Amino acid sequence: MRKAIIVGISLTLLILLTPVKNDSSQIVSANNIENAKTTNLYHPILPPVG
Amino acid sequence: MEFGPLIKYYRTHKGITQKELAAGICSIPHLSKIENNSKDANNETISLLLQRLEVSFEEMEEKEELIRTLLRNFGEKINFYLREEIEEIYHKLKRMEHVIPFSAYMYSYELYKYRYLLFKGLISEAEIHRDLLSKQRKNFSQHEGYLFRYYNAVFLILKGHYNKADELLEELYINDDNETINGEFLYHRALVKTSLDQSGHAIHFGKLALQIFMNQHNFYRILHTLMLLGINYTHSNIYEEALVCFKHLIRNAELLKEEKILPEIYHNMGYLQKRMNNQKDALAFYEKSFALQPLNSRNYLVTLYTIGELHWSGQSFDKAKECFQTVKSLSKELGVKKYTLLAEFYLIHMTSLEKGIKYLELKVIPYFEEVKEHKDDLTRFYKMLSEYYTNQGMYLEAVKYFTKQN
Repeated sequence: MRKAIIVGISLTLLILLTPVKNDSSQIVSANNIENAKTTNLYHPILPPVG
Repeated sequence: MEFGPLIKYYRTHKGITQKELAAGICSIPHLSKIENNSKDANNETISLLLQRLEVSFEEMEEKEELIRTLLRNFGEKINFYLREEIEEIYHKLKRMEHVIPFSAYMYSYELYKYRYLLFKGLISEAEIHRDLLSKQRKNFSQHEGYLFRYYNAVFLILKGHYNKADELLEELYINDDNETINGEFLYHRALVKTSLDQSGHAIHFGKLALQIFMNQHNFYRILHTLMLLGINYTHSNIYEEALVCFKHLIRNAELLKEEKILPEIYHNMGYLQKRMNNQKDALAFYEKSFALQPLNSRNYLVTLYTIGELHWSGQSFDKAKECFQTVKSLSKELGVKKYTLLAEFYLIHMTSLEKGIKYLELKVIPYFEEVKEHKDDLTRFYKMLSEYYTNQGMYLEAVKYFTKQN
């Protein structure tokens, strides 16, 4: 019984403390895109209207 | 051909009275009615009257046919962006200007003249012509009405009113489905969407235009469309596709000896390299572009400004200062307010951060918010301001600009 409780608590802690890799990397890449959009220069020269 | 008014034109031009002209051919009231188009005369009478005026009936009919052919060719040459041929045809038509008002192509000619002025970038003259045409719009055929509205959209693009141009093109796209399936129209749609930072739409229309231009072997417009696609792929972070576009462009522009477009391609390749974080390559392409640009043109200004920004972000402030000083005086000379403000901002910013921020808030941002055409620049400045206020601990201000970013 005691063993089961210890295993249960360990598992819960393990789940709670494991970083959610996918979500955080998504946030990072979203930030990268946002940074790319706002800090880069956007002054292309357009072709002639004609 | 409207022979009545034509006879009247030549009669008054030669200083002949109705009595003199009608003698032995028809009565004076009959001639009067013919001249005012209120009576149809038979070909024989018309021939005799023209003969007396030393104008050949057949020649006039041939001229009308020639006007028709020239106008058709004119539209085609514009679609193919053939500058020299356009000039040639325009001058041929100009020499026939005295006959054109009596032909069935009076409005078509005036519309193409409007298009010619736009093609040449003579905006104020085009505006005067547009106002004249606007008074005649009730008399236009359906096709002429379509052309008028389409050319008005081109006029708006040249004026930099991209939102209005986009609305008008969208309206035409929905209402005049058959008319709008041509490369030039789709190209203009892509161009406007690019200017409005709507890259997805721009790529969509650009691809459609490219397909049509490729079927027509329309080389100049293929180059222009590839350039648009390259810019939009860059802007959408689809770098591989953008690279393919620019490599094609450089190869073909060199092959076609299209030297005019080469500096523009190098500039946009620089932009792509910057987006890919290849600072060195970016600067090299921008400088290559700069070396080929005609002195003191608008593009020269844009490239120089970009080089200035690159030096600024690379912390080579002396070089940046040099660039921005030239940009500032040149943009004033060319009347391009956007670059005057931007150059001034960087020059102030390099001497004092606080003064730079103040200038940004008081001068730059109100201008950019008012013209609503440079969303990307605005977002960048909002970000700069929100970061500045965060560092200063002025969170209310920081939040204000942070919210504006989104």
